[in-house]
Amino acid sequence: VRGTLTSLDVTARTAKVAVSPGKNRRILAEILGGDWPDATKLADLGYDDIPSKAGLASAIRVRNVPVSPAAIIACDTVGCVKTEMNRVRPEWS
Amino acid sequence: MELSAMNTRILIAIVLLAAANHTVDAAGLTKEQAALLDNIEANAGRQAVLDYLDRNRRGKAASRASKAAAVAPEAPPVNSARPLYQDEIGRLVRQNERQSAPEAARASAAPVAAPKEHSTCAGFRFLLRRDWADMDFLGCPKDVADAIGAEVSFANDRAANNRIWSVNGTAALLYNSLADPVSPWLPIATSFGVYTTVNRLYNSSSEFTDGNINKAVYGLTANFLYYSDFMSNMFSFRGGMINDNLTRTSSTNFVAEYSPVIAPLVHTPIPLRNVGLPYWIRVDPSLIVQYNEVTGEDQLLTLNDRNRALRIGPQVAVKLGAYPGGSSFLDRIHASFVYHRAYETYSRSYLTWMTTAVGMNIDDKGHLSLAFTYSRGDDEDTGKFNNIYRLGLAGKI
Repeated sequence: VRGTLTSLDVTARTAKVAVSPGKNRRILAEILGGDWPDATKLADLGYDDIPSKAGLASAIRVRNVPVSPAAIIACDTVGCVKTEMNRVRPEWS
Repeated sequence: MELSAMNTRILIAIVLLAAANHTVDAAGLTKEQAALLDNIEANAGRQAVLDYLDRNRRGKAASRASKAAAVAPEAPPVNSARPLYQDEIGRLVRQNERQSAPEAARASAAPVAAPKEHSTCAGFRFLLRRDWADMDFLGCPKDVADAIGAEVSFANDRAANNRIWSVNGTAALLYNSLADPVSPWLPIATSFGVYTTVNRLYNSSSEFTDGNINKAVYGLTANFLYYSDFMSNMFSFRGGMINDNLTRTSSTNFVAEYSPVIAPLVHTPIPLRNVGLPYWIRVDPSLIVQYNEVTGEDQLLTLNDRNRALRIGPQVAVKLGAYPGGSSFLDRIHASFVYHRAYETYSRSYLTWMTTAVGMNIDDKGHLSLAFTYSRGDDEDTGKFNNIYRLGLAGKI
């Protein structure tokens, strides 16, 4: 028993995520229909408005990558999305 | 929590002891209380009550002496079936939470950090442009360098002895925000604004007065996107009124639109590569409410031959696009399809509109393209019935 044990430690245990290099890239390739270069415009892949980018954020988050939806909506390129995914889930970068 | 019969009796005894206001013996009990405890069968329970009273008395004395924060008396030990280590964890948890309580209080009193703003044009902006076409109301407006500005001009046609004054411009106040919401009731993307457009042209010569223009447009727009991982919801409102001060007529329109977003099927591209096609397909359903009204002499809407119309109905738009980088024949094809059916409440009739388009890029960059469109139904703006196809070749160098 640790000296700083609190009820949060007891009830909300942090899930451990296994290190899996390249998993973020594979997840994004699955969603976007291919492993596209970073400079590829999201609009060329069908994500040309704010609601569709919200759908992209949702598809990423349900795959256990807790990106900020607003950050994804603000993205215009595939590289921007990859950067955001690697930022929140570096063990899968 | 389950209490055994013995523990219940112990608790009853504690309550009676707390309520009693009599002289006490060495153990802190009156004669009546001692007699009551004697009736409790378990000696362990009696000892527990005595221990509790002892600790309580010492705690009160310490409180009176120091005026410090009152120490809550611990509950008397009860016969529990739970293992000892769980009780130990519970004691440590309570102890640490009491120790960290002042820190938690300070943390809750600290100001909550605002969510990070991701819009590149966040906040209010005042814009002056030629028209509202280059003001992307949901996104960000064009840069000033790329936009067309408002214009006031004067021309003097000496040959026709006509002087021409013209004013053409749009002023708008827009607000944009894109930030993760702190509450599910707040939208993740917000955009709203008001604008007014002035279009005036005055000819001094009476021969050219037919070309005079004196129109004023007032409009508003608001867009809200509510996000959740399961389903996002987009609400769009836009309306405007055009006043023609020469003909003394006006035209008003208001459109409200709702679009759901459910990844990966609705309003989100679906890759078709899994079935061997180099395309993505997107299905965008929406519910649209449209209101139109005209005022002035002999002014009627062609939608229903009345001066107002209210249409309510669903629309579905399907887009098919090729992924970039391909060079085969199939990679050059793109298509779209829109079907809108609405019920017009004043005339109690249905209006339908369908349009489809298929295009093919002849060169790799799409600078030369072939397009085929087919439209059928009641025109969205005029209500006039159409049944027309069109084949076109477009190019640019």
